[in-house]
Amino acid sequence: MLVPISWLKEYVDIELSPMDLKDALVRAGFEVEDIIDLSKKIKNVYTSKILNIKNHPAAEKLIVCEVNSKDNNNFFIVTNDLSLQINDIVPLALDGANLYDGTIIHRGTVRGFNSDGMFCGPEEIGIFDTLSSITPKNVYKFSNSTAVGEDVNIILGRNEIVLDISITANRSDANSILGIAREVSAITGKPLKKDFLKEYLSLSPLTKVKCEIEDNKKCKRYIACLVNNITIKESPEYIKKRLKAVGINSINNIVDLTNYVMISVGQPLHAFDFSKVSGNSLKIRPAREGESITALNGIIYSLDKSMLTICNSNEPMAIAGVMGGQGHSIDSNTQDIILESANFARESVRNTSRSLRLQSESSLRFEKGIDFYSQELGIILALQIINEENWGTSDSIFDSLKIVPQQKIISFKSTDISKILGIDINNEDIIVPLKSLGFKIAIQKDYFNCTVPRWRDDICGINDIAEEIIRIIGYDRYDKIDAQRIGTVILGQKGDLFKLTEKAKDILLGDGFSEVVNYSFIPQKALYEINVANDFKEKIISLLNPLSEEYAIMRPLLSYSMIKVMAKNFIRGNKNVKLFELAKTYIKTDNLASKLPHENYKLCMSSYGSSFYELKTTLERLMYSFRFDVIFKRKILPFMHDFRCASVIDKITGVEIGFIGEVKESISKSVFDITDKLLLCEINFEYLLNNYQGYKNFKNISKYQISDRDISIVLDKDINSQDIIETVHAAATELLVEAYIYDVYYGSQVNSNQKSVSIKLRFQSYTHTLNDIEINGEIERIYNLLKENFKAYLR
Amino acid sequence: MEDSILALLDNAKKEIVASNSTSFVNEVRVKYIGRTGLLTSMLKDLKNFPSQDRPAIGKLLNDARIAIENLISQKTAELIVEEQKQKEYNETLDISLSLPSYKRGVLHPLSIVKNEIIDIFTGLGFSIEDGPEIELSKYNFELLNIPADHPSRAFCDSFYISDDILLRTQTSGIQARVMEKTLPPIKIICPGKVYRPDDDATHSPMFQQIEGLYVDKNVSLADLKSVLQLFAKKFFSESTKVRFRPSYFPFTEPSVEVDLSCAMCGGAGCSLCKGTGWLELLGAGVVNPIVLDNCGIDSSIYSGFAFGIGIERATMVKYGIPDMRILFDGDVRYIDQFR
Repeated sequence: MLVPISWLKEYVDIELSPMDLKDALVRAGFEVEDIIDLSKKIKNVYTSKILNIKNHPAAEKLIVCEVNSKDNNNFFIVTNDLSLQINDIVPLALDGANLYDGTIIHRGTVRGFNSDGMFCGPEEIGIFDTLSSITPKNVYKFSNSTAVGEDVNIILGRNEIVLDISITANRSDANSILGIAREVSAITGKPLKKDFLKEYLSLSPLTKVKCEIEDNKKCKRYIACLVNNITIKESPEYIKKRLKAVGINSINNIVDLTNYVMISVGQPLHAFDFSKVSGNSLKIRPAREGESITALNGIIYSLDKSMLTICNSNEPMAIAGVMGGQGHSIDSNTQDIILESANFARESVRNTSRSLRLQSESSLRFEKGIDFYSQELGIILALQIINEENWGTSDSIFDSLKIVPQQKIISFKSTDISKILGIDINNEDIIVPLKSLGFKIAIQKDYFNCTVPRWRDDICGINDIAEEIIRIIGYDRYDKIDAQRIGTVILGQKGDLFKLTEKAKDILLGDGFSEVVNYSFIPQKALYEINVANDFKEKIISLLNPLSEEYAIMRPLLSYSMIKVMAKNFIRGNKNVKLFELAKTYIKTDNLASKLPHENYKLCMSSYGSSFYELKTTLERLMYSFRFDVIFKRKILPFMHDFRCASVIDKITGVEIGFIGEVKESISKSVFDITDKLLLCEINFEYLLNNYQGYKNFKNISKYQISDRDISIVLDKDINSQDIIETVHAAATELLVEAYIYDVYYGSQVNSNQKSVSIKLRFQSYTHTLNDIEINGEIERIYNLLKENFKAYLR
Repeated sequence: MEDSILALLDNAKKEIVASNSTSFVNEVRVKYIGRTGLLTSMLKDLKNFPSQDRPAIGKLLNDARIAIENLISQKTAELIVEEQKQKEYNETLDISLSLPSYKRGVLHPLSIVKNEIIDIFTGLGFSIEDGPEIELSKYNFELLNIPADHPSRAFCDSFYISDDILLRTQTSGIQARVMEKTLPPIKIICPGKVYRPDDDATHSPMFQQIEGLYVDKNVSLADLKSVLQLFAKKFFSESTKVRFRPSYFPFTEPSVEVDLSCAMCGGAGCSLCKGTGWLELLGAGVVNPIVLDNCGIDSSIYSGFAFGIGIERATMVKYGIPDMRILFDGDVRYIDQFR
């Protein structure tokens, strides 16, 4: 909200500098985004009246004007604008002047003739919204009544400091000059200068128009005031200047009046041309199916029955709280008007504004909420100005509010306040700030009975009162409170989710994988890019209102985002990249009891520049540390290499908990431009969390010597290592404590469809040192089963 | 005889001294004092000498043998040291060479900062709670006193999945869920991803928050100040100050913005704090009694405070990161700086 300080001063005296005023407002809860000095940009530019025009002695396309300007002096100015006439009042930049775009003007000679300065075009003095009759290249012309020799900043309403204040959502009452003035008054202790309630209306009831409200939930209060004998004309300078300072263009006196009142006291007004209220009927009703309206912006809007309208006997004249209709608003022929000051429900205005995609100053205010009191204020101020300026005569009034709502009274003890705030609060701390904010206080024994001002809908309970008190007496009361109070001593627990997540991350970090954080949303096309659109078809969670196509769905897997970020690293030339992400995935749930989708923590790892086995080692290391026994089975996935991908299976439960492998070249290279082998692994981390057993029972180690034996066997090369080791274990007794393959050989020593596999076997007993006979027996059984299962033979 | 013994000893000495390897020394040993060595055979020949000469010659021979043995063991010891040295020299490694894959992975700065904050608050007795990111509007809004016509309910301020399901805009939903099923004292922090439709240098449509909640008897705004003061000291430095400014959140009343004195300039004013000396880092307040009552906690007995920290913002402040989007870029050259 833009607040010109001079306007604010109409309501309250201000002795603070703009900077101090800003600080005071911030301390009271009003963020001041900016202090704008409107005069800063343009300097030393004055209005000047052309007295005489001569041709330039040396140039045909130039003229020399004699003007009267600053301090009643006359100046000679050379210009190329041949359209200038004697008596035109134009902006004159004198020696050393600053123009809007930053240009500095100096006295000089133009084709041999001294020019004391330069006339300015509209843009050079910051006017960008002029009518088409003035081209930006021509010199700007002020109206003939403009004072001569004045600083243009004053003429244009730019001799002003404006505060840009952001107002929190609970304080719609402060969304006006008056609202801010009330706060300034409370902070500084200076009383408000105007008390509008003293001048309540004494007009006769409106009979010339029949007002009806069909939906009094959406229209909570409606005041309509008939004003006769209106003259439509230009607004007085003070209104034009003030509107300009808050960024509103002047149109005519009545339109300006509605805007001026809205900014002054926060109440949007609307003016209907009385002659267009056909049937003398003003009906506030939902639009009917098929109705439409041409709004003031010239656009035709189709309405539906969810939208509240103001109608005459035939058709909608305005979309309630949003915008008026073109056909029923005032024009130069308007004689009598109906001034509307209404309270439309927030939600109703918001929904209408949203579905029509039409916003206005008025709709924004209604969306934030307006109290019942403002409708009177708005009408009173409007009639006051009409009266002062002699624009018309108020005739009669309709007000739908029959019973003024009771003012809220909140009762409390001072201890209630200090309990909330945790600091000592005395009676004066309570009375002074609340009174200054317009609360009325009656003290009854220990109790304060506090009547809430009618404009403060946000005050509902003691906590609200506590906040009002502390924000006025100042939060610096807390400066002395240091770190001593931590409340009840409770054990702070990180919990398994956090601890296991950190444990997993630590393992991956140790193996050189760095962490990335990707967005939870991915584009719809992502699923097509990695060929999984069919797999997830029914399960995808889509956003109803994504920021863009890129963020359209919640990711059902981490792999896509991971491939993307790997590609980014690859394309930027980063070598040997290893990344992981631990995050949730989202899919629709089959569980009817849960309304919410299924969220699942997943772990994704990826690398290029290192081998499949390195990635697999990291995964196995992770599983080892989490005490999961896993087996790997070849897996076909739409985006993975058909012969270089495995599913990861919990050996105990047989549950598939993820996959690991190499991304298909037709995806990594053709879609993502990664010309290296891209390795990828995605694991259901939720499964690890839910099934984690941890370390349980201590087991002693064997005191007896361990015996190592190596065997080498030759067998078919397609037999996978995991099956060989499983067979070895199946054949041996518990004396075999460890078996692993330490060498695989393909080549001239064996047939081309064979391989030689060397296996390390380690035997140990808990009861005695093993002898050769025992060990040889084990080896024979192992060998026999390998022979039986795989036709293996000793090398 | 005596001369020939001395000559033999002299020769042996010369050969030992000239030896340049343990094996050569061994050859010398065999040559002189081995089983068929020159000196050994002279000893064997002793019986051929007249008996009166034998002791003298015997002594000479024996002395010579001992002298040779001593020389040999001395020389051998020297040579062993030398040979070991040579062997090690031959095994010289270029110790300046490094493998390309020495790097440990690096935790994302957001995780580093999140963990740091978690450490501080768990140390103060707050326990971690988790909850759904896709949330019912009941938990994200209604129970938290954000009525249907509140501005932040507007369609453009949150991402919707359906009419009453949305991506949580704050982790406060977890607080509501915990309060519904737990009796005070409740002392929790809720870290997690939240979603709002903004995307620029200081806003991201997905970001992480840590919200804290403490509900107990007699919890006040002063207790909040105490806890946040402790946090500020641990997170930045012992000299960090905390300042409250009035603000508005529907779920707290009174509500405050919490400023910390600037971590970079200490309050003097710099580019990080835009000359104000303060950094706006948290929102907080006394839990609105309506929220307690909504969640089944009797607000006439209990009160509480709540606060929320944006992890991205804290990370940017802590490390001087100029643009929030850098945190989600994923280029290892960004992340690896945080080792």
